[in-house]
Amino acid sequence: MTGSFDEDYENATADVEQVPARPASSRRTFVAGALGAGAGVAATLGTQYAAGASERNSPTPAAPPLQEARVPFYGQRQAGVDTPAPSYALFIALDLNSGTDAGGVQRLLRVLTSDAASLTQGTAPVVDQEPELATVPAHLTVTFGFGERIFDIVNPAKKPAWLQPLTAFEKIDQLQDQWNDGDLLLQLCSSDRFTLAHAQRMLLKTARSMSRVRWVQEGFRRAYGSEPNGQTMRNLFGQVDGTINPSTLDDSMDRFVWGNHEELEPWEPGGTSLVIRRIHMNLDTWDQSDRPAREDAVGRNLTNGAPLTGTQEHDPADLSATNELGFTVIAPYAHIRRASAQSRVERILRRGYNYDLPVQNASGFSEHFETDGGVSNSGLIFCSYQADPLLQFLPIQERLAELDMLNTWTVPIGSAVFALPAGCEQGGFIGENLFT
Amino acid sequence: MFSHKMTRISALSAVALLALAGCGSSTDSASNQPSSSEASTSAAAETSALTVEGAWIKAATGNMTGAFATLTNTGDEPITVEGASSDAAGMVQLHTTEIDPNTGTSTMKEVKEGFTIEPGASFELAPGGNHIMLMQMKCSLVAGTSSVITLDTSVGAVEFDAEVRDFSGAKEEYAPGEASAPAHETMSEDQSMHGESDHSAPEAEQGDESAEAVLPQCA
Repeated sequence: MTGSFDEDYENATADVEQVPARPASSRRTFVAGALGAGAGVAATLGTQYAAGASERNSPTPAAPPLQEARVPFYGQRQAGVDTPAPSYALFIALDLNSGTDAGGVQRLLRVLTSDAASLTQGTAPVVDQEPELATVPAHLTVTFGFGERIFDIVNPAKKPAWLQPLTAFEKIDQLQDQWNDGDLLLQLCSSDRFTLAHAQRMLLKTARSMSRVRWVQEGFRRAYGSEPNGQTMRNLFGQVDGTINPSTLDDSMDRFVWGNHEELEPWEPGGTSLVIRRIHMNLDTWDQSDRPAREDAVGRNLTNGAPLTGTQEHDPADLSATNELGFTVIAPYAHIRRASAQSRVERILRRGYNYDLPVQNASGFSEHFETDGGVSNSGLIFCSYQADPLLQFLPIQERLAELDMLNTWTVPIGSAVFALPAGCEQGGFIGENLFT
Repeated sequence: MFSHKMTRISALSAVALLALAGCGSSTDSASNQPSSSEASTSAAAETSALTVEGAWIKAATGNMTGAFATLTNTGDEPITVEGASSDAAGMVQLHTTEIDPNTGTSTMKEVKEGFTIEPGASFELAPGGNHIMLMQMKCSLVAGTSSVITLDTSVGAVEFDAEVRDFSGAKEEYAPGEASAPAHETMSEDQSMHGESDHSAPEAEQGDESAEAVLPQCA
């Protein structure tokens, strides 16, 4: 995305704002908060260590920016997909208790929706026993995703044909079941790690009697205020990761993620899909490759992510360009060549997060295709959002699994596919359309 | 198309509405809670000078539980809440929590004179404080449902929906002689809410030791 954080927010929430039931006050609050965020940062950072006493005595101190940073929860589409990705994320996969019936699923979705709606607006749910921790929304979003079992229990007829585990990519996968699948995904994103911790605790307490935690993946990007708004993220290899993304500044997000496209159809209006792949990144073997080899592997330079045939990040790659020896500038095995779209619908929204787990008793080096050893446990929570994963994501992934120089240093260790339902209005609950 | 579910939906709708309305001010002037979250007020309550916000009941499969809310007197005269009733409970009492002068422990006691709320004031029913005690439960209240509670007040009956939520607190003991069983024993039964599950250790233990049958789910 090329727009600013604030522009992206306004654009991303434009359709939400047209919902008549939504009080105008909440939109004004949000917009003011978002605009204030940028302006307030410098002042806040400059004074935060000295300000304590005087700010407490001031009758109307300016709110710190993240206290007003609310992403609307209600709307036709869930937040957390085409809204800008804040610094921290938790992906929580729950498995429903055995014997759960449709009524049980509905009760669970109702209470989780209720809590999510409150927490994302900086309001404590009624049963929150640490309500003081709920007061900083910090762009918190809670996004629900459904695995197969929810459809099997509630409404098999609505289950998308693509909603099943991806066929294993035998040449590259080393999937570990601890990171695979799940009945219900809760994707939590926030600019404040503390806000995430409390939201996670609250939602898990709410879900506990009806489900168990299958896995949690924690990820991060640059902190709020570290980089210009809208800058493409980097992964822990140092690569600019996500340049060719659909945008809310044109119709590409609407077409490829939400399925407003003649060759695509969303599984339900306002719904989309999410493929989460946990990609172990071997930083030790990556260290053995020097900068030209790293850039050759991807087909982009590391300085600003420009294709090797261009100078700016968003310059289109010229896949046919050759060098003086007659070889293509962007190698046959380069990641961006292999990933380039071969049909009109092969576009996906990548909105991933890095992970870097603490290690214990660690030493030495990790070898190629090993997923442990060395002094790091790092990688990428690869997240791909698209209307139809089989038409849009799978062909790309199949080509990459067959040939992509990046596979030299990466190993997929987890895989899950979820159907993201439409958003809901006040009084409704996420997933309600399955019950009609 | 949702008409048969209107009761639940209206409760959650009110919850959501007030949660959003509360966005601008994070502090409730009537309490020291940082957020005055949510409400579920029925039509009956809206026409009354007594409003009910943030109503919820602790999920329970045993024979007693508690209900909580913030009551506000929007009228010009004091209002006394004299009692309460619920279709889910055989007996409902108004309770307060106080320190037993003999033992120094916190105990729950019935407030026979009721709760009087002055004009413009809010009165909080919360775990560890004043609350509505539901006893002789006829059925299990499970999280994600809602249940109707009726307050008998000096300005007439006030009916509201309360959302049922899992909650680990609200375990204070009764004063000796006030009730047939210490609250914490019965309330810990909510572990057996896990009845739908077959793979959690606590419920296996519950199944072994629990002599009390789990009540059927409330309609």
